Amino acid sequence: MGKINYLVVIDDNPGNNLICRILVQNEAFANEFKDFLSPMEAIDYLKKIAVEHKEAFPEVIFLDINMPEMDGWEFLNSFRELPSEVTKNCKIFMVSSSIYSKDLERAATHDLITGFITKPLTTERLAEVKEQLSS
Amino acid sequence: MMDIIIENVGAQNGYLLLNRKQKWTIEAVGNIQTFNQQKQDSFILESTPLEKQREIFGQQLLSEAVIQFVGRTKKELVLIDAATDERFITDGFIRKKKIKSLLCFPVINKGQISGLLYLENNLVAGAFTSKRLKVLRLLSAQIAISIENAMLYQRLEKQNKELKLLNKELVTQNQDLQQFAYITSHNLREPASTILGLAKLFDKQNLANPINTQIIDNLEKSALNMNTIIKDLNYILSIKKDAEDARELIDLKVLTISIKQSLAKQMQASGAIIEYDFSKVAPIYSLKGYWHSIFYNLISNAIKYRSEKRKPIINIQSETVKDLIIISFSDNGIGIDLEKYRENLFGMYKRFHVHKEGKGLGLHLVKTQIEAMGGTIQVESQVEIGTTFKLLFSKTILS
Repeated sequence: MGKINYLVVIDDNPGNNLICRILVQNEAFANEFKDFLSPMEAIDYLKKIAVEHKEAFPEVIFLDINMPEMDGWEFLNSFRELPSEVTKNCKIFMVSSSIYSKDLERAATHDLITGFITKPLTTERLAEVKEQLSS
Repeated sequence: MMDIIIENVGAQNGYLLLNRKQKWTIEAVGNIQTFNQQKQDSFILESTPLEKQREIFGQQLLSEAVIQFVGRTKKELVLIDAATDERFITDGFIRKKKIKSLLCFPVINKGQISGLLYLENNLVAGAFTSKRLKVLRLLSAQIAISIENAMLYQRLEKQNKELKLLNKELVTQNQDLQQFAYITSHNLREPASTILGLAKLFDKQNLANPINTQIIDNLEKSALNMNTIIKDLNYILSIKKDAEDARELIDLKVLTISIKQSLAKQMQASGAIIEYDFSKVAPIYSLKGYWHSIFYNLISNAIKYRSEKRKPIINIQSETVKDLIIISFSDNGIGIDLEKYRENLFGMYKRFHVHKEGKGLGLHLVKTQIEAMGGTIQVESQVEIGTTFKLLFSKTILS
């Protein structure tokens, strides 16, 4: 699988976002990378480009579950409101530092979620994501 | 048992008294009328101390002088015509009621006096014949055993009740601990995983790689984060332990003034006003440290979550309702959407308003400290109108 065009990471932990940024660069995972510490800012941004710049909508999103403002699930509810023609090609991966089985189940049965990543992101885990994307 | 005794001994009224903690208490009452009429059982009362018989029953039922006499001598007392008996001529009760036959029988068990039977017959004098006394003496062993069994059973019931309560407490504590353990591991996992991920990406081949500085900075942040979480958790664990420690007299007015001083900067910046009225509650006897923390957290929260649209006014009141002391903190701030957040309000590390500093530990701490002292906390709130926190304690806890 070739490079994806654009990856967006949404996580209130800057350390985690740095890890993603470095790995994405090292493994040539994506051409463009942007991280958001605030899920609300992320939603506003995605709303904007869904309207003004459809082609620039991210192909992949890594979304953290536990964030103070709104958690990952609430973010997905807001994401659902975006125009589906833009979002249908966007694959979302849920990210979490804890392997809470309820979260895993919920992610597995959620229609907007493509996969689940346990923190910290590593070369191996990124490779698994690449595999899931190409299948 | 009382029925059998009354019928066989020829009494009109009978009382069973037991010796509780050196005092005589009336345990059962029997009445020949109730027995004859409708097969009613003699009734068993809540132990009524002898000296409180007037208070509880509205009238005096038996002669205290007789009870004390037999209690002391441990011998049967038979009065053929009590009102004319020179031994009790000074007892107003016997004289007024013109008691005729009176029998007070000690129930002896293993050399100790375990109970007293007090029997009266006001229709005839000399009702308690030696024949009837013999019957009573025959029954006395039975009576003694019955009393002993009844007391043992009562003690058993009491212990059972206490055990059930203790068990309930243990279950709750266990649930708390489990939740605590979950939250700990959950919250520590995040910085731990970050440290792991970053350490792996540190460029060891090329130490001068600029990315290394960023990595070290973030490593430090995560390590500090972990450290803080562990400190917080230790603090919360210690609260429950310290709850037994030294208590002192606390004047809530003085406490409020001292907190106002601690928060002087925030008060000035926000223009907040604190009104208080503790006139209805005397100084409390409790743990100063906890109260300081509770007041500080609730007041500082009220200032922090004030509304920009109006001058923040914080009102602290104390009142007593029945045997409860209620201290309430009311503000006119931005309020909390309780429908959404009521369950998580006092949880650890839970925050509901963005762009406000704080770890989300304040309310959890307040609740933990209040509950460690045996109190409870309630909250009412309306968004954009204000919030009221009510602290409830039983009077005995704070005195």
